Amino acid sequence: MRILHTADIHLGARFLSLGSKGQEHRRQLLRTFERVANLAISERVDLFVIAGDLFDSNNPPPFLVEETLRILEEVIQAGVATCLLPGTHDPPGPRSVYSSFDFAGRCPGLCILADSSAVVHLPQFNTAVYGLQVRSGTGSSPLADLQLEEADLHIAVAHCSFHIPDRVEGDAMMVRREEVASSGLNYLALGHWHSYAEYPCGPTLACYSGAPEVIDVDQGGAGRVALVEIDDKGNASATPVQVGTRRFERVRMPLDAASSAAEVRNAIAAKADGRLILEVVLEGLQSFDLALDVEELERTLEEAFFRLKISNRSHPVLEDVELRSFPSETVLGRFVRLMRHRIASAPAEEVAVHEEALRLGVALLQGKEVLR
Amino acid sequence: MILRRLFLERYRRFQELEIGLGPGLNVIKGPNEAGKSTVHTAIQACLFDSARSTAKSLHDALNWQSDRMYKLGLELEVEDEVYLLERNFEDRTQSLSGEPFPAPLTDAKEIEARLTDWLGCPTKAFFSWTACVAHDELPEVSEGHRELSDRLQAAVTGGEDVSSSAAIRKLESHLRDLCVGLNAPAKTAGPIRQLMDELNRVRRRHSELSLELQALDEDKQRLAYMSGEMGRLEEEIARQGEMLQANSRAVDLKDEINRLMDRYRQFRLASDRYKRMRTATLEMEQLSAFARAESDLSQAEGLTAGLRVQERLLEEQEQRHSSLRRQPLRAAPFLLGAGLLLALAGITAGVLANPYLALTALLGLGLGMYSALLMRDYLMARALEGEVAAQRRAVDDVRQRLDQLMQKYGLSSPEEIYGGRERYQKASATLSAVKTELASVLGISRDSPPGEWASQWKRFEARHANLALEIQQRRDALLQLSSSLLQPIRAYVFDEEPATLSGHRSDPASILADLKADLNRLVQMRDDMRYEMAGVAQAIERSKLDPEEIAHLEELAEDLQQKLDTLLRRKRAAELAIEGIKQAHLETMASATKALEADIGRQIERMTGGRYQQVAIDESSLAMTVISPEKGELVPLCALSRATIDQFYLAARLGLMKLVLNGRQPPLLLDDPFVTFDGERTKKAMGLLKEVSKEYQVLFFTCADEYDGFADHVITLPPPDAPQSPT
Repeated sequence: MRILHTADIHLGARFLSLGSKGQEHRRQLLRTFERVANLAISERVDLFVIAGDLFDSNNPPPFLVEETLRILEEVIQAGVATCLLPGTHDPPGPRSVYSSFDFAGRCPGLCILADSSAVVHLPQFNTAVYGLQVRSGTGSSPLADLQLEEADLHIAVAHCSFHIPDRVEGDAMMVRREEVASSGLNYLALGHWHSYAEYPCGPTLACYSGAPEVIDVDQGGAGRVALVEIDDKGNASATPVQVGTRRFERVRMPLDAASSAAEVRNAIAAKADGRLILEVVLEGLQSFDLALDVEELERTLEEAFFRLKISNRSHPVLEDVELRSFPSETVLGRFVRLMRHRIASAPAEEVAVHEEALRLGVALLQGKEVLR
Repeated sequence: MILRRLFLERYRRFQELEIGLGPGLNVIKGPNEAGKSTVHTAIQACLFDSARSTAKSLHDALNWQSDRMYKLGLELEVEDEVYLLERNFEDRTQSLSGEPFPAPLTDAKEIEARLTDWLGCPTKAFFSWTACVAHDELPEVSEGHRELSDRLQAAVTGGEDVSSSAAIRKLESHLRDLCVGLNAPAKTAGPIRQLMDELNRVRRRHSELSLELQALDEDKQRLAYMSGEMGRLEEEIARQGEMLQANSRAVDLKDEINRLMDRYRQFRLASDRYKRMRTATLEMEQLSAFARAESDLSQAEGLTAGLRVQERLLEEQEQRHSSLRRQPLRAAPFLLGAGLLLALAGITAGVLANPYLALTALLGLGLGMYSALLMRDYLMARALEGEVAAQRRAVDDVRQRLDQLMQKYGLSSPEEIYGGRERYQKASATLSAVKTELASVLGISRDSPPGEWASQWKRFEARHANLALEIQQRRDALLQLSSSLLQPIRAYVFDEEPATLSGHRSDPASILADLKADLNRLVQMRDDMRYEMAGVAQAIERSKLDPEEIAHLEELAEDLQQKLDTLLRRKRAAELAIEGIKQAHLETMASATKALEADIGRQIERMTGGRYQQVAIDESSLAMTVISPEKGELVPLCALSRATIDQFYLAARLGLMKLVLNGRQPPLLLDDPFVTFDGERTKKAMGLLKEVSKEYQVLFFTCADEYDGFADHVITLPPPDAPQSPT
């Protein structure tokens, strides 16, 4: 039996960090979901599972729901059994998107695992698919109420965290390795975490497909779906398949060794990729000789990326050895010493702007053209 | 610091060059293109350029006939110690060696630190703008192309050719540009204002749409709530309707049952009457003989009455006779005799024998009296026997006559005749009464013939044949409804004792009216809600709200906010920089003013041949004014002759240099600064320079010979086409 497992598509999500590019990325989410659906058709899988958060909220734009229904309709018409679990962003209930729109009417074969005892039987494989519902309360397990029915294969879908000692312990809803191992399930399709991850638990394979398209920063494992195969003995194995278009990367760039703005520019430009959401954090100690205009840099390079954000968190070099470069009897020398003193006594939130004032003043007093 | 020797390889026009230098005033001369600028830049490059630098500008100095990088070297004298500074830009090495060093310094930073310490100049730019005087610097000032004060400020600013005032002006101008429209409306708003306006517009629109979305969401919630309520209301209405229907039906059934029961009772009554009529008719038919024998009946009545009298008399006589007959009539004479004897005997005995024996006579007397009485009854009984017999005959006679009469009617007793007549009369009366009652029930005349009565009755009976069934059916129906009935209704329909609930009406009509009122209230509520729901649904349907636009506006606002934050930070940074530079400027100018006043004050009289004796320097701008001996008032320096300005400027420039170098004595490099001066100006300027050269090594680059007379050392560079060896 073959399963295409995806989750956390977050259709309609807002991307404040992407600013004006948010709309484009939002459209990409839908295109990527369509790509995932087409993959389910082309791979001729037997079951297409969406493990929660198909929508980012229960109030998506109607056109988005219409498009989603069209895509799901195509999958179902292609003969692929499709199960959808509401998640934490689109929870079930009277105000759920799945209640507000006519999912059952438009996609008659779609199984929405919306109630706590939702079980779908796939008679051709003698398989039972269980929808494990989100329950409130710290550490509550969605497996607690699971009761296996008569079937050869047992597949469950849940939207929750996986307990990892010392790392993931306090989530509102979690499954534990030992309870998965003793659940009798062949495969546990998980959603909620946006990066692909496999957790073999005895005879059961628990797997996060991750988000098919990057949703937020620091999601290196996003952009994939899980193609799952369950053999005759009931053993499940998963293969990640790349479907995402965009990727996110955060680069920390120390300026201590940078000798020129061009060097910094070239280092960033080397990563040029129209599909990349790049966040560059300049840090370390920035020499006064390094006339770095971050906004200008961002403006000139932004075309090379889907989104480029450069944050300058570096600090000007204010050590004694550098002060020697600014003789104390000059305006520049006095200014540097004065600002150094002010930076030292400024409240934390004012330090950065004082440092910028220092860089600006030094550049101007050195005769550099830094004002635009 | 004194430069003792400069040597270079593959540097600009020189394949190789070595020149010796000495303390005091060194005039380095040569025609145009002889390489004066090359020597000038080579000295600066050797002092300040790191051989490890990758700056492209280093390649600008490549030798014209070679693509190999160059080597530069300087022999330096610092506090009587000689050092050798070498920079090999080809293999990117450098060293500073000298007696005091146990080993040559090769680290660029160490060498830089050491040179900064000796020169007092941390950078080439600083050196260039403090220890170097360009060839146009003095003419620029003296000819009014640039404010002297501005140039002097530049000398203490510490950067390239920029004054702190100019920097402040630039910053203030930048700040003004940023802030246009912030405090007052402007035709063309500045970037901050523009961003703020744009952000406000976006936020306003976002806020409007969010409110709309909120309202839409509330509408949807309301609609969902109302749908639920509507469902519950419909259920309640259905339940209430069913209850009303059941209870109404029950009351109706009960009323019907009551009506049917009334009819049934009337039917039963009519039926009973009809039966009675039939019975009476039959009876009358049977007793009709009595209706036609009135005289016989009167006779029989008389006979019967006579018979009764006779029989009573007979009975009385027989009773008297029977009571008499019970006496022992045959022994009475004997008993009388015995009694008399006994009485006689007793009297005798009493008299004779014993008085107490006289009591026996009493017994005899009693016995005699008793026998006399018996005798009397016997006689009377004999008399009654005749009367009784006569009476019996009378009775038998009457009976005989009655029997004859009975035989006529076939009866056995006269009572039957009376009874027959009574019955006939009674039946007749009954028939008459029943007919009267039935005639109205059946809708028939009481005088109608019996056949019509019968047919009418049949019809009447047929009409009422199913009444019992109908009543039963309704009772069954009531039983089926029983679970849906309110207690008072149940009590009413099943004739139970109603529960008494205070404040509740218990009569069925009131209860049904209350139920109906409740139902109407619910229906009204449902209709109102339906109307309201239609309105809300229409509003939702009409809404053109696009959540996508809201999301986009939110993202856009975030973008604009970030840009605005950046601009506001730049504004704040500019303000802080202005404030800092101003403070640094004021402090530096105050310090420079003191230094200049001391320096120039000492020299002014000598420099001007005693013409000017006092100079005033503005503490904020370093602008100098002198007291004009002609006017007796302060006049700006520009009012003086060019030569005098040159001197003032040069003195101030060098004075400020001393100040910023903080006691260090770097070599001063002057690039033919007096080239446009006439003889007098040149003489005065060189005189001042000569004075300076006592303190600083001066390298004076020129293409003229006129300065040779002032020089301590003259180095002549070979012409461009001559062998590259200076003299």
